[in-house]
Amino acid sequence: MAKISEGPIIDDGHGLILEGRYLIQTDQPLSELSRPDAQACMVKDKQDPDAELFALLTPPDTFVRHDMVAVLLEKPLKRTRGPQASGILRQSNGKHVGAIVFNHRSARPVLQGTPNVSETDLMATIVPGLVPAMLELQQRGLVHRSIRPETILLTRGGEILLDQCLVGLPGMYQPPVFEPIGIQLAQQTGRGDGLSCDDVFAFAVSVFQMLTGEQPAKGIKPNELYAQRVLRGSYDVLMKRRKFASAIQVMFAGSLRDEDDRRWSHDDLNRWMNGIFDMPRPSGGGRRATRPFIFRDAEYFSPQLLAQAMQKYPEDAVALILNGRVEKWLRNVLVDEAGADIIRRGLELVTQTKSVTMEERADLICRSILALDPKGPIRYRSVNCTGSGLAGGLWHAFTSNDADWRDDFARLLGSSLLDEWLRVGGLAVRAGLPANVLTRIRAVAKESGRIGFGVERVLYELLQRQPCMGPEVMSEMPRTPGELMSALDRKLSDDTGADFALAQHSAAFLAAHDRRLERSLRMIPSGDKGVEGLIRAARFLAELQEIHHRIPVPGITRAFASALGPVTKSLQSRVRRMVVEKKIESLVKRGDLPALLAELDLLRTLDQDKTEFAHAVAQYNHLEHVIAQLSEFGPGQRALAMRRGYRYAQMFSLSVCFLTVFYFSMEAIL
Amino acid sequence: MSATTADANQKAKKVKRESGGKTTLLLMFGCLLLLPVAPATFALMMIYMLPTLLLAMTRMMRVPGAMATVFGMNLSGALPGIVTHWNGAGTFDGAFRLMVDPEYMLINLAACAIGFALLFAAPFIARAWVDIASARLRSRAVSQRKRLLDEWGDAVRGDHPAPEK
Repeated sequence: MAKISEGPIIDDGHGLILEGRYLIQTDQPLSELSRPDAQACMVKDKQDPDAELFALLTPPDTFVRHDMVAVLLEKPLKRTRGPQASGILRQSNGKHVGAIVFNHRSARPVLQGTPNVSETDLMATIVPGLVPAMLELQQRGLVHRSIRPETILLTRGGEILLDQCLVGLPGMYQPPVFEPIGIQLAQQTGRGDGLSCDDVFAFAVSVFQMLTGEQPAKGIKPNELYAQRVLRGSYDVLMKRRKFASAIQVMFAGSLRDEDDRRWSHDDLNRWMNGIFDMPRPSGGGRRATRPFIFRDAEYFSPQLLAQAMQKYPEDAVALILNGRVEKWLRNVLVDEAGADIIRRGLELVTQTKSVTMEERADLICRSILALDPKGPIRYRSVNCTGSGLAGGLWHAFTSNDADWRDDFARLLGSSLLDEWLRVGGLAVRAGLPANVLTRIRAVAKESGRIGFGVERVLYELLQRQPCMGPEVMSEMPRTPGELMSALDRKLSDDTGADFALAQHSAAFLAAHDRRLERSLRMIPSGDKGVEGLIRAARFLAELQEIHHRIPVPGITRAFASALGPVTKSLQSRVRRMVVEKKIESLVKRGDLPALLAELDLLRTLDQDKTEFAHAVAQYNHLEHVIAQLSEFGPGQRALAMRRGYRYAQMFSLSVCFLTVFYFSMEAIL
Repeated sequence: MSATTADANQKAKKVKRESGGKTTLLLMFGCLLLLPVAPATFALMMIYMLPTLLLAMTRMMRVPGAMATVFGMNLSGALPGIVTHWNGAGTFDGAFRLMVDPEYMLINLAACAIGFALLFAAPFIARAWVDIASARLRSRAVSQRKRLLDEWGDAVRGDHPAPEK
């Protein structure tokens, strides 16, 4: 069983070797297997020199389906170009890249060199190879999401394979026509893993292209294609009354259905391959109203197309939503009580206030689109994702450094829109966004002001195996808390001027990977750049070192010591400051953050120093007062001298009197 | 000075005056006791203790303890004459003789003079003593201040000016 290599692979003079056997030959690129987001290169297997292997090298800003990599490495699939090993390489130039070694280097797309395949070849060769490959994936709970003629491969031995689908966001490179209608409108990065029946849809479209040799729906713009599919159904739009052998026609009718729950499953496909099937009734488009809705002088019978138009013209849509026309149309014409209730709840929130803010407008539009097209992607401002595509969309928002996009995600996650969507969204939404995940997301999004929470945390909760994307460590692609600590330590060692601070991404990544760290994370005061914040952050990292990285971290310790410079300088007592500085100097060399914190006990020292300083100030003031009084012979001292003088004179006089009396008394007695 | 402080001072003076008056009355009463018991001694005492009595009646020196100081020395000076009177016949003749005896009168007046001299000189002597004690205290306070400055730096001074080296 292959494993994901831990820590970066470094060239120790023998080359970059994964799993002790796969030599990654980065100097031998393979242009025909390279992709826009990953470069391919040769791989030599030391144990099997004849193995046809290659590696895809993924830079830090390329999405890799790490969950899927782990599943496939644990138990490889036979009929898929699958991963053999995976790890992070540190190249000679110091840059890190992800590397996944794949087999079947020489496999080529089935349509390479031929415009189409015959129905006989399809049924005799391609389908018997492809359907079992899809079944294997489905049985593991995986969805390929990239099935199209280019990813259906033929080996030298005539075997049919499915190409890898690990590099790149799911469905990102699929042409719109290969996507089911519920996904087509989603942004490319937000299409998501979808359902296994989405692979069946892509299979059917691929078969259509292989048979006809022409790209399906060629020449139709995506919006026009969507409108046609909504009105007539995908089957009708793609087939264009074209006739195939009845067995194939049946498969098209079952697999090109637009309703997820009525589309053929993998089992149906398998039965069909074995000659057992019923003639399904192809779908004929989406919901239609009996009376139209007039929007921008156009009549809309389809709520899905109305939702699309509203997304395009939000200002016009808001007026209609606010005056209740959309709700009434849904309730009275479409008889959609659930949808109408979604809009009503939105209106109730808005009508409580006098003016409608931008956020409320966006909320209303999103609610209306949800109500009109619950099976489609969620459309909130710039966010346009399916349930399972939220993670990819969020990932893309971070890699593209688009702050507006991130803010939109943050607002969406903090609103109640996802709950509404989950209520009406259907199978794909429930599968892509399970209730427990949504609860977790809502909980961490709610604490967005706190370090380690917010939208960054949502990203890592959704993509548990994704490397940390913090700008300070992203280039090293840390996948575990230990690797993140190493990366941070290296960065702080290399860049001596770097500030010691716990970045939002790193904190979110760590908390998502280890719940034990969450308690320490909550102790870090939000927005506090002061001493307490610094020490709490250091305590968090010390705990991390104790749990996940039991080796010295001199870089982090030195950076922390540098950050402590102003703190130690703020110690008022010169003696105490000197002692603390000496201690820090000796402890930094050990690189042991927990020991440094334990021995310094800085918060207590600072507190003690503060108290003692206050006492010292009070004492100084008193001394100044005493010195001032004693320096001049003032009225006070004059009064004191007089008082004492008279008292001494009195005492002297009475003593003399007593002695005299005593003398004469003694004389009389004796 | 606030009204409250002024009131308090007045009250204190009144109390002092009352207590001083009581002492004088007590002395007078003590002396008057001698009148039926030993009239000759009483007469001699009245003469010898005249400075104290004058002081008590006129309140010439309004300084604390003036009466006690003068009384103590006055009595010390009067005792040799009175003891001599008691050792003699104890008659009015003896008493009158002692009243005009220059030796005993000189002793008595000299003792009184010492009492008054004490009252005048005591503040000056006390001031010298206070000066010495203040210098010692001041030097101790200065060294403590220096120690504070050494440990806590100039921040401990606050608004106070830096001390002269």
